[in-house]
Order: sequence, then structure tokens, then C-alpha cells
Amino acid sequence: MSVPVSAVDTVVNVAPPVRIEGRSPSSIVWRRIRQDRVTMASLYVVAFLVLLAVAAPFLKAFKVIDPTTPHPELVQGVGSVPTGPFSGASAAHWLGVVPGVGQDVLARVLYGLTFDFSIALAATALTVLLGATIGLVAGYAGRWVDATLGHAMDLILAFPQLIMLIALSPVFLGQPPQNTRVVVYLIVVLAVFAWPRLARLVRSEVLSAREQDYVMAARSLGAGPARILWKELLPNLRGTVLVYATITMPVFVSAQAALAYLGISLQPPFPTLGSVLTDSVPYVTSDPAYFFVPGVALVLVVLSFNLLGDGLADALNPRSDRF
Amino acid sequence: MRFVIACGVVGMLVLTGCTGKGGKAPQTGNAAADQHRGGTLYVNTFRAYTHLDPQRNYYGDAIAFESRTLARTLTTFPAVEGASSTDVVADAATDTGTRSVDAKTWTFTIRPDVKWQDGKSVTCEDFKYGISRTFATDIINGGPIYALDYLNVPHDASGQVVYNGPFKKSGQAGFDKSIDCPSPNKIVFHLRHPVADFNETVTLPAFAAVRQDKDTGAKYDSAVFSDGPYMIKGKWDPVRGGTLVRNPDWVASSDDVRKAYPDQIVATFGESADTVYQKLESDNGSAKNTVTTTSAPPAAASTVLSPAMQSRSESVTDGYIHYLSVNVQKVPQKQVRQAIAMAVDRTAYVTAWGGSALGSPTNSLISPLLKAYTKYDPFGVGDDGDTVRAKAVLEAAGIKLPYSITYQYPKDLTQDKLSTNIKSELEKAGFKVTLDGLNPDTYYDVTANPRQTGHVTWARWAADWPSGSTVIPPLLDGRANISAESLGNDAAAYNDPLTNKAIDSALSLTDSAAQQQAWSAIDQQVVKDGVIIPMMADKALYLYGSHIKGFLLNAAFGGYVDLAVTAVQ
Amino acid sequence: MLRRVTAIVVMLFAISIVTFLLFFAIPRDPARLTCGKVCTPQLIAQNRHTLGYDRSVPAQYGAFLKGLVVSRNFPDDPQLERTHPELITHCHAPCLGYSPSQQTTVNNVMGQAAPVTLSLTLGAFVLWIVFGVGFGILSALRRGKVLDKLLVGVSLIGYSFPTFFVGLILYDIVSVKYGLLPTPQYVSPAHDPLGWAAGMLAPWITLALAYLALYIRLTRAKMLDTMTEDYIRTARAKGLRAHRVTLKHGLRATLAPIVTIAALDIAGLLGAAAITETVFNLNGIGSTVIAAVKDADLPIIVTGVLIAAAAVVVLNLVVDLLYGVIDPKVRYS
Repeated sequence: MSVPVSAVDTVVNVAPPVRIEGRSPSSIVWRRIRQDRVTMASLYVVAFLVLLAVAAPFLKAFKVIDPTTPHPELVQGVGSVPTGPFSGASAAHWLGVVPGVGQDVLARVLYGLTFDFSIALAATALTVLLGATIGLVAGYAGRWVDATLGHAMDLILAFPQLIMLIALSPVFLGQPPQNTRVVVYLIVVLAVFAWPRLARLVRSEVLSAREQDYVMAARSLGAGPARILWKELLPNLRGTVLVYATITMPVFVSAQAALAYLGISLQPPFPTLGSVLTDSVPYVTSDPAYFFVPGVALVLVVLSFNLLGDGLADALNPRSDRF
Repeated sequence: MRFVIACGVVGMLVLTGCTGKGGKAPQTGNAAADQHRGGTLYVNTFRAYTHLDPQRNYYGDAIAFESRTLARTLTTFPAVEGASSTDVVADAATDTGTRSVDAKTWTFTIRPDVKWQDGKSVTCEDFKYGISRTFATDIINGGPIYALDYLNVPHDASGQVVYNGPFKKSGQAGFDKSIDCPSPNKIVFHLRHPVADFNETVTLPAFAAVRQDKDTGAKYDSAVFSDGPYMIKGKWDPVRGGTLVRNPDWVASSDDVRKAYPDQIVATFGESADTVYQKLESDNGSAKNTVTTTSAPPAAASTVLSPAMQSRSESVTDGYIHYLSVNVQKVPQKQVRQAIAMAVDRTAYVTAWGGSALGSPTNSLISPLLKAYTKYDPFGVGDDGDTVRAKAVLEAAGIKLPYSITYQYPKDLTQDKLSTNIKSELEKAGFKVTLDGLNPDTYYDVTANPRQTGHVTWARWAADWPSGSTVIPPLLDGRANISAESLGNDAAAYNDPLTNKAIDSALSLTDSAAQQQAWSAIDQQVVKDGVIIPMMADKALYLYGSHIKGFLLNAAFGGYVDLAVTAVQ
Repeated sequence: MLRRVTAIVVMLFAISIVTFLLFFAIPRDPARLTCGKVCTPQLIAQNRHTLGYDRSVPAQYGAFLKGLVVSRNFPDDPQLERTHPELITHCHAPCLGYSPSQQTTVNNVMGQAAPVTLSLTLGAFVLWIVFGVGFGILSALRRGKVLDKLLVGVSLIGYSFPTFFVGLILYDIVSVKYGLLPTPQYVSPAHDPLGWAAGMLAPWITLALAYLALYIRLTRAKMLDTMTEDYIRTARAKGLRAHRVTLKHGLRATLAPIVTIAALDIAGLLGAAAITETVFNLNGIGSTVIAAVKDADLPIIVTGVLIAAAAVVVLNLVVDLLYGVIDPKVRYS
């Protein structure tokens, strides 16, 4: 759930800022990625999952999939497990139906994907916005601004994230917990506890870049601080930010699953990956097919994003060519 | 009686041979169990028995546990199978009590050989002190409050009892007059109004004895001083459980009910229902000696009901009724409430709850186990409901659709499914439903809060003892339930003068059969008004370890396992 | 050094104030939640007074701080104490408060929870460090070979499962259903060291899996980095065998940063262990706090958050000092 320090450090250590090397840096990076089969495969999987997530609301709108309507008549086994093998899979329900209530499993997983991705993406964007901005400011301004922001980051990082996410939920979700509130809560609170790590990375890179020749040159040419931040420092942080964002996405997806397990999720019947997964776990023996599907979906998401993040980091790291 | 959320809160009821699965030979259990004295019995249960303090104990599983181990009451229900378990028998008293003609004075004689765990005799003063603790509502909270209502203790103009318990002792003299101790082994109760079945009221641990010199107030939960066959070893942890060992001063001949076979009883709380059942299914190690008061979750039902498990599984109609309350202030139009009642599908409800092994549809707030039960179909829509007719009713009444309502329920995986069905059905009938899944631990505190309660709220209830008097008045008497701060048990905010009058007249009836009929009439009327929507009569399904002998689900104790006769091999 | 310690104390104060404001100033009413079904306005007021929630937030914070140095009584009712001292719960300094849901002092609750959390986190830590570093070195030495890919791949898949999912599978299926691991439970290591280790095995694996993959990758990356450093090349050029060079020089250079990171990870572990504790029904600090959230048991929540935060802050200091020892270039003034 929380980002282990080690996870961040893996990124720091494999992704120093991209250096100018004659050819455009992005073309070098892209060439490296294309040579890496695992990274390419994970890129395809990520692209496919994103496509599904984007398509799901449209499929629902056109009534191709229906993640919410109950079909009690399809779950007449003992203990209300789906009638028929493989979780009651049929032409109408490719991956079967949910025990007890008979909703379509595939539709729920797809729609859950949409929700989880949206939250993770929004939270990641907010994290990057906060982390990069505050990191830049802290690194560039230095002195008391840096010190103050540093203390603020230390303060936030000291709080146990998962516990705070749960403990704060009754404070902010209110009663009744509207779905919109849950959405805002998830995005904001995930980002609030994640940005300081990125800010630290950015800050340390700004500190080292500040003394680099090209920044010095820009400054001596009379560029103001805003221009230097925006035009000179920010572009060079793209690599770090991109890799950080890529490894943050799966962390946020996992975090949502953990929170769903502890009861913080959308109100039914709206599915999230975490709520479908939580519901499926007890059925490991009585309805194994149902148990299997959401678990595989979640692992696919987390694994593909992680591998992609790894590949990106490798590609952005010129030293990896040396071996 | 309190509501139940997960599996099982209190319950005592009448029943008609509902224990056991169809086709299974009747238990010959207890003769076999007699040969198995000794050993350790494990009770592994999801929800903690938070209050072992007898005066605060109001959950069926905890009452069943405590009544058989630590706290003897003047009377109790016998450990037998079938309907006769609800025939009250003597326990610490020599008989089931004698009542005055007006049923306002009850006298019991305490057996001389009922002993505390330090060998002292249990006296009338001990019972009187124990019962007095219920009045200390600032410290001894959470328990049933029949004592406040029944005992002839002065009330002030606003209807509040003037006695505040044995700790602060304000109004002590008034309380002292309500219970007489003419001799150490004679106890006389003076009641405010006739209570024909008071000898069943005193089966509740709230009417058990407590020794004044052992009372530790709020801390008594973890240090109950026993007069039963077992006593707490070390300290009882209200959250995690504890170990009971034999009370050396318990005299077997003084106790007609408790066989007390195992030497030791270890209770463990907190494992999820799924884990509890995985352990019981695997039947390894201590799981062989394990019983549970957690009913099988739907996901485990198919395994528990499989032929391989048949020899050590048991199910019982446990007396709990699932129902929906429609708040009459938020939904004032009768037609709207009736439309809700017509739209809901009880068959789908039972399916989502886990199927016919775990419940059956009902249209009555009164359990089919009670004599007050009458089978009827108020709207002629059967178990499946009729969303088309419901919508027609709304349209005929000129209601603007969609009609927005909030449905509140205690959130867990199964409840999410129940509410999914209800939302789907109601929306077909023209409602717009917002589901509000609440934290189960504090669920009833929210639904009882007039500022937070929803249009429709889920609840579950069983009788405290087998009578409609512990169903209809506690749930539907608005005068007793509703205050500025609380709706009590009446989430419907129902306070109808005619119903209240009917309740008063039913309570005054001395003929039991007539009284039960009166309860049924009130039941049918509130259901027809769409105030209460009964959904399902709950069944509990249990699995137990292979070394358990004499396993008995006692319908009089909410269908929980009866530890009085449970033995381990 | 003194400045650092002062900074830590200030930081802990800041954390305690933020936590107090967040949790005590919110519009929830724990007095209501502890009132039970038979709830009257008088009872709620009585409850609020007993719990001390009728006082202002600063006053409650003041009472909390005071409790850290002098002992407190619950309920704080001198009249009741005179007539019925047995009803008063006495809480010795440093007093962390009284838990209405568990009906005992927070000190007692946390005193019981701390050994569980320590057992869980330290055991998991040992597991992931030993296997993470070991497999990482193996991977680096076999770079690009099947073993490398297998170790990195399998650990990544393990890392991709959410902790609660791994925990539930290990508990219900692997341990209970098939008996492949000992039944998870906590017994005191003082009474039964073997039973303790056996009972904690599944939780340890669950928690360690969340970190194992990262440490394999980290160790592997560091090893590969160091192996290209000039002194290793020199050593190799001098004719030393490749593996010996790697192990002798590479390992030392690799371990220093890993120890540092590990110390930081372990600090955050107190919070991260909450899910594992919840799944395995271990009554550690994290699971106790999560349960307390449901009961609106504010004193437990605040104390749990403070303990976890203090662990992070203190271990940060330790790491800084450690770094000064490992890397002489960094010294604290």
C-alpha cells in the first residue's frame, strides 16, 4: 500500500537525469525501449488494459456490458453459487456471474478497471503536480523555503499512510458516504501522502542541476528564476517524473484494493477491482473460477505497470549500455 | 432483545421442532456425551462477546455462552432438542416461581447449594445487587432494561426512573422496596404492572446475581465472578477471549441443566467467518474440539452442506427476522411505502443471503417459531414481489417519479448483494435508490439517530423470550422508543396512537393465546401499512469439530450451540 | 546532534498536534457511539463527560500531555473515587489515555499489541533482507541467465499481489486448508519460541513478499553498478577471480546503501503491517488502530499514529547517524 522507501530508491538509482548526447534524448530512449522485449510486452499489455478501461463506460452506455444488474436466477447452486461450471460461464456471461447476486463478472472487472485507473491516474497526476512543483521550488529557492518545505515533507512522511487513509475516512467521507466523496477522498488522500517522496527526488536533482553549466549559462544570460525553472530544469526532470508516475500507478491500484478490503470503496452496485477481488476471495473453494478472475486482472495491472516502469528506468539510464 | 448484524445477537424463542436437518436421525447425543467428561472445548467465533458482565450482556451468542458457564439465573431454558427447549425450568431457584393472582408479585426460592467460586452461597441479596446494577446506566450500559420498566421503582414525572444504581445510590430506598429478601434464599419481586411471563424474563443474565464485594463496575466484563460450573482463568479479554476452568465449588446436584463435560473452555474471537470455517472444514488439531457461534458464511455453505461434512453440520431456524423499516416521517405517503413493500423480491433476498439453507422468505415480523406467528400475504404478490404493480400503485397515487430514497444497511460482502437486489427492484418500480452501507459496529446507533436515519433501513430482530411481547412493543411502541435524541429500536419513527393503544390492551391480556393473537393482528397491520417490510426468517448453519459429542443447537437460545451438554472426545 | 534530537522532539509535538486536531476536532460523537441502544440525551451527556469529550480540544490535548508526566484516573470523578475506588481505572504516567471500546488504558492495549507488531515486522525484515540480498547477489552474478530472470520474475509476481490477498491465501488455503504452513497465531516467544516462529511464519512471508522483489532488484542494481566501478575493474585486471572480486569488494559497497534503505523501510513497516495483522487476526498496533477506527476509539487511534510516526522519525535519525559511520564523507555537525 505505502510506497516502500526501497521502491523509490530503486528509481532514484537507476534514473539519473537524461543527459544531452547529440541525438535527441527521447529518440535514444525510445530505441532502447524497443530493443527490450519485456518492456515492449508490458507496454502492449498496459496499452490494452488502458484501452479496455476507456472502452468500458462506452460499452456500458451501449448496453454491451452490464456490471450492475442482478440475475438471481443464475445463482441457484447450494450456497447460491452460480449454476453450471466455471462460475456459470455462458455466451451471455463469458467469465460467469457473481455468486449470490448473478451480475456479470467480466463487466464488473472491466468497469472496475475504469474506476481504479481513473482514480490512480488522477491521484498520480496530483502527486506529480504537487511533488514536482514543490520539489522544484524547494530545490531552486533553497534557504528557509527549502528548510520549511523539507520539514513539511518529513512531517507528512512520518505518518503511517495506510493507517491514516483508514482513520481519516470517517472524518472526511461523512454520512452517507456519497460515491463522489469517496472518489475525491481517494484521489486527494493518496496524493497527499505520496507527493513528498517525489518532491525529494526532484529537489535533489534540481540541486545538482542548478550547478550545471547550462543552467549557469542561462542565468548569466539574464533569465529569471521562473524561466529557468520552467524552461531549463523542468524538461530535464521528465525522465524522473515519468518513471515515478509509472511505478506510482500500480501502487495506487493496489492501495485501492487494500482500502476496498477494509471497506473503503464505492457503494454497491458499482464495482471496483478491489471490491470485486475482496468479494471473490472467500469463494476460493466453492467457486474457484470467480476467485481466479479478479485476482488475475489485478496482478496483470500491477505487474505490467511495474515492468514498464522498470524498462523506462533502464532506458533512461545510459549506464545500462555498459554491460 | 437486540438486533443482530453479522451472525447472531440474542434470541430465545418458541419453536416447533426446527433443529436439525431433514432426514437426519434424532440425536442420541447426551447419553454418548456422558462418557466424555474432561478435555478442552474450543469456541472459535468471529464477533467478540464484548460484554460478559451479566447486566450488560445482550447478544444471543454471549448470553448462550454465559448462561451455561458463568452465570446461573433463577430460571433458564433446558438443554433439549425441539420445542420443549422453550419450556422454562428451574435453575438457581427450586422451581419456576410462584406468582400472585394479579401477576404483579413473583416469589422464587433459591437452592441452598448454589455456590460462588469462593464457596460462599448465592443469596437473595446477591441477586438483588446484580439486578440493581442495570439501573446504573452511566456505567452498566448496553444490557436489556426490562428491570427499569418492570420493577416497582419510583419514576419521575417525565417517566424516568429515579434510582441510579448501587454505585451512586440516589433513590436506593425506592429500589429496595421493589425486591424483598425475607430470608437469604427467598426472593420476592414487586412489579409495576402485571407480567405473566416474568419467570421467563429472569432467564436473561441481566437478572443474574453479582457479588457486591467482587463488583468492579465497567471492568467487571473481564472479571466476572462465577456461580456457574466454570470460572474465568486469569483475566477475560473482551476483545480476544479467554479461558474458563472448572469452578471447584459448583455442585453438580444443584444443577439440573448443565452437565459441564469439558474441563476447560477456550474462547477465541476475531477470526473471520471464512477462516473459522476453513479451520472447521480442515478439522486439524484443536479444530477437532471446536464449536462456533458464527453461522456459516454463504461462500462456505456449499462445503458445509456437502455429504462429506454432513455428519458434523447442523442447521436451525434461529428466530431472527430480517426486515426493512420505512421511516414514516421521510416517507409519509402510505402508497409509497406499500409500493416499496410490493417491489422487493424475497426470493432474490434469500438467494443473495446464501440460499434456502440459510433462510426462508417471510411476511411477518414475528418468527414462525413463535405462537403469535400467522402466515399471510399482505399484498398478494407472493415471495417474488411485483415491480409492475408497485409502479402502478405509485402512478395511481400521483407520485412524481423517480422517487428518491436512501437505503441504509450494515456493510459487508453479503449485505452489499442484498442491497444490490433491493436497489434494482425498487428502481424498476420507479424509485431512485441511494445505497448507504454503514459500519456494522455502529450501525444501529446511526439508524436510531433521527438526524441520520435513512428512508429505508435494514434490521434483524429476535424475541428475548418466546413471546410477541418481546417483538411488537420493543419495535413498534413509539412512546418507549422515540426521544429527541433517538428513535430507539423504531427506525421507522412509527408512533401511531392506535397501535400504541392496541399494544397497551395486548399487554393487559392475561390469557396467553389471546395475547399472541393480538400481537399477530398488530404485526399484520403495520406490514399492510408498509411501515415494516419483513424479508426473511433466518436460518443458522453450523459446522463443528469431529471430536465434539452431544452437539445441540438450542432454539431457546437463538439457535446457538448449547454448552450445557457439549462434550469433547 | 543535539539539534537533531531537538528537531525530533519538535516534530513529534507537531505530529501529535496535527493528529489531535484531525481526530478530536471532527464532528463525530464517540459519546453517542458508546451509548448503546437505550440512549437518552442525559446518557449521551453523561458519557461525553466520562470520556472527557465535553472539554475543548486544547483542554483535551492539555490533559493528554499532562498524562504523559503525571498519572490520570478514568473516569476522573473524585466523588466516585472516594466511595468506589474499585470502579476507577488508574493510568500511570506516561499515560496514553483510556480506550472506551476495550475498557482499559491505552497503555495496556498498546503494551499487548507492541510485541506482536515487533515480532511481525522484525521477522519479516530478516526474511526479506536475507532472501532479498541473497537472491539479488545471485541474480547479479547470473545476469541475463535463466536464474536471474526467474528470481526477478517470480518475486515481481509475488510483489504484484496485494498484501491482503496473499495473506488470505496463505492463511485460509495454504495454512488452514492444506496444512502446508503451521496455523498462524501469536504466542509469546518467551513461553514457546518454536511455537512463536511457527505461528508467525505465514504472516512473515506475507509481509516480506511486499518487499522481497524490491530488495532483489535493488541489490542486483547496486551490485551491477559496483561491478563496473574502477576499483573492481582494477582488481579484475590484476587477475583476481571475478566472483571473489564481486563478493569481496562489490558486496561491501552494495550493503551500505541497502542497510540504510532497509532501516527506513522498517520504520514505515509499523503502518504497513496493519493489513497483515488484520488478515491474520494478530492483535498488533496496526490492526488495533484499524479496529479502533470502527469503534471511534480516538485515544487508541491517536496513540497508534503517534507510535508509528515516532518510529519513522527516530529511525530516520538512526539512519543518518549510521550513514555517517558507513560513509565518512557524511558527518553531522
